[in-house]
Amino acid sequence: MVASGSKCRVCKGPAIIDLPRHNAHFCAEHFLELCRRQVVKAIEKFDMLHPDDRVLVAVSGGKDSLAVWDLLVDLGYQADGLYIGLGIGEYSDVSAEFARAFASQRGLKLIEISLREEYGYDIPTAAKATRRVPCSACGTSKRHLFDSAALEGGYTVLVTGHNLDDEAAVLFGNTLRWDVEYLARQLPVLPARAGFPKKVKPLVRLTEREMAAWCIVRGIDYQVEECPMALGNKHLAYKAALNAIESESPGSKASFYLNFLDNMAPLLAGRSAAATDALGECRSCGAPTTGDLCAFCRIVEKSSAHDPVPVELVLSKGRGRR
Amino acid sequence: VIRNGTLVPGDAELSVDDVVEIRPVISGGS
Repeated sequence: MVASGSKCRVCKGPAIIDLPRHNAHFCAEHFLELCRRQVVKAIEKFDMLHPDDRVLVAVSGGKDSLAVWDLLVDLGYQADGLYIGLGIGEYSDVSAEFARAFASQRGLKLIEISLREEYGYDIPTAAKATRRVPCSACGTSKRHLFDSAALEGGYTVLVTGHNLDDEAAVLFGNTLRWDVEYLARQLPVLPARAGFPKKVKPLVRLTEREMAAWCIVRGIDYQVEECPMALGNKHLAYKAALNAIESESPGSKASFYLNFLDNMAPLLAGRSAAATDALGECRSCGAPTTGDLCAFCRIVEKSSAHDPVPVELVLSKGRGRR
Repeated sequence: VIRNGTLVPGDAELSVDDVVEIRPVISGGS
């Protein structure tokens, strides 16, 4: 085997990864240590978790959610997983297998919810029935089911695998529109309030490249394929723009997001209070909502009455729009 | 870059016998 000439910054052993934003290379052991340290730093700085918390991790079968589950268990937290079957054809079938394999290999509890079996619809059908982009129906469905599963299961914290790239891309989009309401809510911790569990994002100091590397080094198999319904969405375009900046100026992405949290988010505190204070209860499920029926129940109402729509049909229509 | 099942940095030298996988990392969910 041909060795890399690069050496680990810590031990001077052979490096397995270069991290330009740290201007350093790391071996496997010290790369994992760096990731653990970044997660601990995020947890402590933003008061995300406590040792006695009952944690529910939203798991998709992708690298980020499996990595955050692995990291939290590795750090000693009691964490169960929640997988939602979205019904996106083979992509969902394969994703579920990765989530199940991860859980069973480690003796962890994985809760599963099937949109089709339990609510009578899937994401392709919801996209067609509601005439909205698939990511909209998907996000609304997942958020509702994550919240209700966490509350009903008695979990004290809901964890998602949003990483630095995800958060920087959302911040970029919100800033392009100067959407103050969304900017005010773009925090790594959302406290529990009526109808909502506490939600935290322990990976906000780590990039998706680092999370892919974590999975490879730790031997975690994950869904490598991109969701076919996400192709061409704005989020990916924002990430590409930020990656172009990052390649010219390593560390820019972290500065953009983490300095927002330090310097800008405090100035926006309270700006989203008006929206949350005015919430009532959904007449169907009791979830918090600004209207009579919550967004999730509106999707269920429209989509469960619709004939099932194959993934391919939504994809071909989506490509035509872009 | 994954070479023969092991992660390697971008400046690693490869030999003709190496099995190399370049894995994409960008995901579109938000």
